[in-house]
Formats: sequence, structure tokens, C-alpha cells
Amino acid sequence: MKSNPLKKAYLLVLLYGLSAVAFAAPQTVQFTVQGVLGTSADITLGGVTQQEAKQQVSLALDEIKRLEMLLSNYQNDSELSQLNRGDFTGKLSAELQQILTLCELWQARSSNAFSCKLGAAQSLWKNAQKSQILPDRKALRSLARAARKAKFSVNLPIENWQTIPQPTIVNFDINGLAKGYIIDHAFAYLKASLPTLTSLSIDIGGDGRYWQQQQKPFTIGISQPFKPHDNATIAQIKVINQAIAASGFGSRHYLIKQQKFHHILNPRDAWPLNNAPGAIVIAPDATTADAIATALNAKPMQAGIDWVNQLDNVEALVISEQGFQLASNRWHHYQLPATTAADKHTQLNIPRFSFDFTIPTLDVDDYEKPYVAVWITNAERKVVKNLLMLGKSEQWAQTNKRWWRKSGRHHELLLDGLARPSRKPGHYQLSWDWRDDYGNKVAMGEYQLHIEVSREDGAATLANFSFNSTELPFKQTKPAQGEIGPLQLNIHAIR
Amino acid sequence: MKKTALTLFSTCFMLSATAATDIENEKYRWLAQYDSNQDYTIDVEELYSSRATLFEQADKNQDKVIDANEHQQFFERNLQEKIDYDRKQSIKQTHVRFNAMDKNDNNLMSYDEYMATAKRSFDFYDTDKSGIITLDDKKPTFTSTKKSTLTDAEKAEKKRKRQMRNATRVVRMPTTHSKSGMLVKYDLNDDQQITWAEYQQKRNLDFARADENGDKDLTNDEYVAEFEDRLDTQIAKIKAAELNKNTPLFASLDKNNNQQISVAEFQLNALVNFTYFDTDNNGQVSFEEAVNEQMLPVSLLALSKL
Repeated sequence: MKSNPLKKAYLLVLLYGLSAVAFAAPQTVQFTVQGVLGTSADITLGGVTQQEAKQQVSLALDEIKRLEMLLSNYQNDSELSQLNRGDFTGKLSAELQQILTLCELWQARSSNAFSCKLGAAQSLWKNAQKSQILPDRKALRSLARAARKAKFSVNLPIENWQTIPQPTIVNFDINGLAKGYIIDHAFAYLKASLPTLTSLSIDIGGDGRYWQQQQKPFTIGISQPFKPHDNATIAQIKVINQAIAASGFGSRHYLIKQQKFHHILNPRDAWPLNNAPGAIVIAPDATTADAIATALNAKPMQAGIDWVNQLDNVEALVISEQGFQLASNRWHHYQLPATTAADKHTQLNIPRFSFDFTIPTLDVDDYEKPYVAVWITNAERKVVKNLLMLGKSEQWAQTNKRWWRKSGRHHELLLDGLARPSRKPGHYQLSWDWRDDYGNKVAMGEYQLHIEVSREDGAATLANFSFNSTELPFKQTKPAQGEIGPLQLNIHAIR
Repeated sequence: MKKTALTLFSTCFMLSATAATDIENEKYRWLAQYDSNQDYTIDVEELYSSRATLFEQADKNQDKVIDANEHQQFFERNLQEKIDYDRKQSIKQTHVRFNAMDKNDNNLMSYDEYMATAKRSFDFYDTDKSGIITLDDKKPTFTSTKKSTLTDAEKAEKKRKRQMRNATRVVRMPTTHSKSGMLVKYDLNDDQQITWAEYQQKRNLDFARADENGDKDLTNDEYVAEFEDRLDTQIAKIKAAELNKNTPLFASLDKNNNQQISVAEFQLNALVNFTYFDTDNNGQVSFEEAVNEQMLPVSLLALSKL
């Protein structure tokens, strides 16, 4: 859940980790603090004395409190509240300038999947919950558009801004990255103020930043996104000098006429997200991780992961409510190996899987780009992985009859969240990480890869490859036929 | 297709007889609502079971009657669900349309790509190739060169699904998939014909309205947003009209006029409608069964069965 990071005052309760080492000797010191940004904070420091740790953590918490007072939407006299009311004059504080600049940056980088300017729309939804009357959708979309276009020169006095904020249109809601920003701020403060520090981790409400002088990894458990209170972890990941943020977990709702609406709004149209995936992001700093995780809630799963794969030093995992997982290219490099013998086996010998296919150029009238489905079944002929779907229309997806029967008709998400737009003729390459649709590693054994292609006014063509992951290398080609160009499946072990 | 209870209270046939296709559509809606095992056939047992489930959903306070407030809430919720479903499908189709028109896969629809599609559409209806779409143009034929690989059973299933889908759709946009629809939208001077210049003029206006930043390229977002604006205007109209049906529907179900609908009243209404649709009197209503083209007032039907 994207908890509200700026709501409550914190209650300073420092809990020291037990230690037999003398109070003045450097050691690892742990603090659990309740009431930080409306949640709890865990701060662990290595290579410092308890006394200096206590002193500096206390000052860091003061700094967090100062930022909270500056950036809160809930404190009437905060700088942000004054700005939102149109009461603020002069230049913004450096911190708010930085945050609003980052907001604009991530709005652009995410192609408008991220926004800090939906405060007015959020107010409309809160009012709608009170009145039990749905907001006008067209008006909300106009509001979102106007907010999206509003540009500010944050380093100038408010009087010189190109667009003066109007509370009913542009109302800043910076929750999408404020927690990450504050974590980074506290992190920088502690690192700078404790020269003997050898390790530092700050976790506030599940988002955190981690550093270790010796480059030793921290192990972090990832909880079930849609059952965050089950205490069950779906994976453990290791991070070295990085940050982690999660968004969309255990989400809250507006309830209007017995209908639930997600509390996170789509920046595109200020309408609540529908079937938003949960997202976990690893990035170099907490602000970046927080902003990307928030943006991933608003993107279709496949589009979100495609976007992350274009970003440097960022990895992400997105999970649908039904449990479907998509991971960025190197996400699983951060995931700790499972402990079963079979898993260890596959972990050590992950074969490299490469499938090349071609959508041929056809000289026909009214050519329409074909619908393509590539999927993998196991020895029991059960679908273990939907590798690629090109084309999102259910009507045309059904023309890939085998795929539709085996997989497509069972999961609406396959077309809604995982399919990509259809593609023009050309050569394409796919890989597979030997994981099923739910992120589990598959056992070694026999599998089949299927590719089915159909085109409006064309035929439907199917091709299959049978392979055994214990009998490698495997290489097979197939000539062009019907709607499918030449194919090649190449699998070889890496040791 | 997602099944909803939209037509829960809408099958009381208070209206006078209408065209056979309207009655057929009414039957398809009715079937879609109660055919829980999706075999396109309903018997009384299945009907009662489905109705009992709906009654429980509507009876929020579980006092075994549906009062006016519960009726309204249930009606509105189901209507909203149906609208949301239809809206989602329409938007999805708009994304698909954008992708199909974006021939060079650059995620932008250029003015040329946009007008190329427009020209194909114009030529399609200009069947006599006179350069003007007139009332004299023959109805174009939709032909597919693709040889169907479906079996007869699959074709029948596909047809049933399409008919059910068409019948249960609440949100309908003005269509340009007919000559009359084209005339409504593109005949700017109301002379019952569309010249290419006239058509182009309207398409230019549509393009400009969608092209929010005026760069002569439509992004997917711009293209979809323009459609959404029109769609949401239409939805607001449809929703207002549908909500007006709530009060008379409640009155028609509340036979004894005590401002409550009992289980018996609720099931009675279902039985009346079942009897009406069971034209071959075999105790089942099937998709293929012929409809009674003479629609009787519900009160007479009810009396005849009591």
C-alpha cells in the first residue's frame, strides 16, 4: 500500500538492539520508531557507538519531522498547504522546489503515468464518497489534462510562475515520491554526520534504502501484494547500496454506492485505477524507486516492465491481483535462490533460451498486422508460460484458436495487461527465464513451445517445438509457412 | 462475457408490442441474465435459482423483502457495472483501432495515416464510385477473403455470442457503420449526400479536436481521449434515461402496492416472463426458440397464470 507518508506526527520510541559490547564501542545499533510518516521506521547503523547513533538518529528524525511539516497536505500551515491554497508568496523552500522538479521529471519520464498534480481530483473523489455521487468523468479528464499541462518555474518566486496554481485545478499531492525523498534525505544526513559508519539501512513503512561499506548485500522479504497482512513472503531479494519501494499493496478504496474505487488515480484521466498491479522497484535511491513504483500502478503490466527495461540501474516486479508476475530483465538476479534441490539445480544451470521468429511481408490487399501468440506447455500439455501476445482485441485474439482455448479465454488479464500491440512485419527475438506466469521456476523436463499467428483476411498458422531442458544444447529451425516466417529455437546451457 | 443483473427488473413488459427483433433482443438479455450454466437454455428451476440469488443480492438488510431504497441501489449498481463493462470494451477497441491505423508502428497516427483510413471508409460506402455518397449508392457488402476454419457448431456459438453481446449492450455510440449513420455525421449541409470535400472537412475538424498539442500527429492518448469525451457524453445521456426506469419498474413488481417486493412477487414476475417466452410450451426457453411477436401486458399474462 502506498501509505500516506505525511499524515501523522511520529512518536519517538527508540529501541536498542541487544548488545554485549560496551556502550562506547562501535557496533551495530538498531532503532524501531513508531509514528514516522504515519507508519514505523527501522533504522540500523553499523560501526558507530550507541551514544552517537542515538544522538544522530534523533536529529535525523527531527529532520524528517521538519520535512513533514514542510511537505504535509494535512498540516494547514505547511508550505505545501499554503501553496495549494494559493496563500504562499515568495520563493519555495529548496526541498519543495526539489520535489516539484522531480515530480515534473517523473511525469515526463513515465509518459504521464506519474503525477503530483492530482490533489484537486483527489478532493473531488473524497467529496464524492461523502455525497455518494460519482464525479463527472469528462470533467475529471479535463482536470487531469489541465493539471498535466500546467508548467512551473519552481526556482522563481510564485509571482513569476508562468501558471499560477489554482486550487480547483492544480493542487499538489506529492505522496507518489515524498516518502522516498524523505528516506533519501535522512539517509544522506546520517551518512554525512557519522564518519565511522560502516552500514546503514532506513526502512519506513516498507520502503527503504540500504548501504554497506563492504558491499555485503541486505536481504529483504517481499510480501504478497494483495495480502500484505498475511506475513507470507513471495520472494527474498538481496540489495547492495540500493533502495526498494513498493506501491499498490493492500490498496485503500473510495466506496460510492457500494462500488469500490481504487484510491490511486490514473494521472491520465483522474479516474481510479482498475486492476492496478502491485509493483516493487529496486533503484539507486529511494525517491527514484518510489516514483517508478507509483507510475507502474498506472501502466498496463507489460508496458510498465517494457518501460523499466529501458531505465538504467532499475529493476522491477509487477504482480496482478490474480498472481501473474512480470519481472524486468535482471530482477531475478536480485532474488535469492530457493532452497530446494531442484531449484538449486536450475539456479546453477539456467539454460539460455532464444526464440527467433519472423512476421513475413505479404503482398496482399488491405494488409492488417497479425495477431501472434507464443506460449509454452509442459509434458502434461498445461500452459506454464504465456511468452508473448501481440494484439489486444479479444475478437481477433480468438482467431489464434489453440492459444485462445488453452489460455486466452481463461484470463482476461492476458489481453488487458500483458498483450502488446500488434507489430508490423519483421524479425523478432524472445527469451524465456524458465519461470511460469506466476514467477515460479519450472522443473527440468519436457516442454513444447507453440507459436500461432493469424491475420484478418489471412490464414491462421501454428508451429510447435518440442524440447527437453535436460538434453541440451537444442537447436531447431523451421522454414516459413503460411503466416509465419522462418523460425529458430536455440537453447544451450550456461555453466 | 461478464454477466450482470442489469435487466433484473427490466423484463416486466409493460411496454406495448414492438418489432420482433426488439422482442428477440429482450429475450437474449433475459437469457443472458438467468442462464447460469450458459447452455443457452433455461428451465423453471434454473430461473428460480438465478432469481433467488439476485433477490438475496438486492435484499441488503436480509429482511426477505426488497424496499424501494434497496431496489434503487441495486438497480443503479448493476446499471453502473454494465456501463463500466461496455465502456471498457469500447475503449479497448479504440486502442486496437489506433494500432491498426498506425501502419508504421511509430505509436503516432499521422494526418496521412488518419486520412488514408478515412478515404478507405468513404470509398467503401461510395459503391457506385461517383465520388459522392448518395442515397442511390447500393449497400456495401462486407466480404472476407479469409476462409473460415470454424466448424458449424463453432460458427453457431460465435453467432449466439455476438447476438447476446449486441442485445446486452447498454452503451451504444452513434455508428458510422451504415450509410444512414454516415449521413448523420458527415452530411454537413443536409442535402442527403456526402461529397469527398464535405467528408474531408469533417474529418479535419475531428482530427484537429483530437490533436491537443497541434503537432499534426495523434498520440494514442490524444486519439483515445477524443473518443472518450464523446463516449462519456453519450454515457451520461444513456444513464439518465435508464435511471428513469427505476420507479416504474419497482411499481410493476410491487403487485400489492405495499412499497415492498416479496420473494413471491419477485418470482411471479419471472414466471410470467418465462411463460411468455416458452412459445413451444415445453418447459424450457432456448436461444433458438421463436419469440411471440404479440407482446401482452404483464397484468394479463399474470392473471392468466394465476
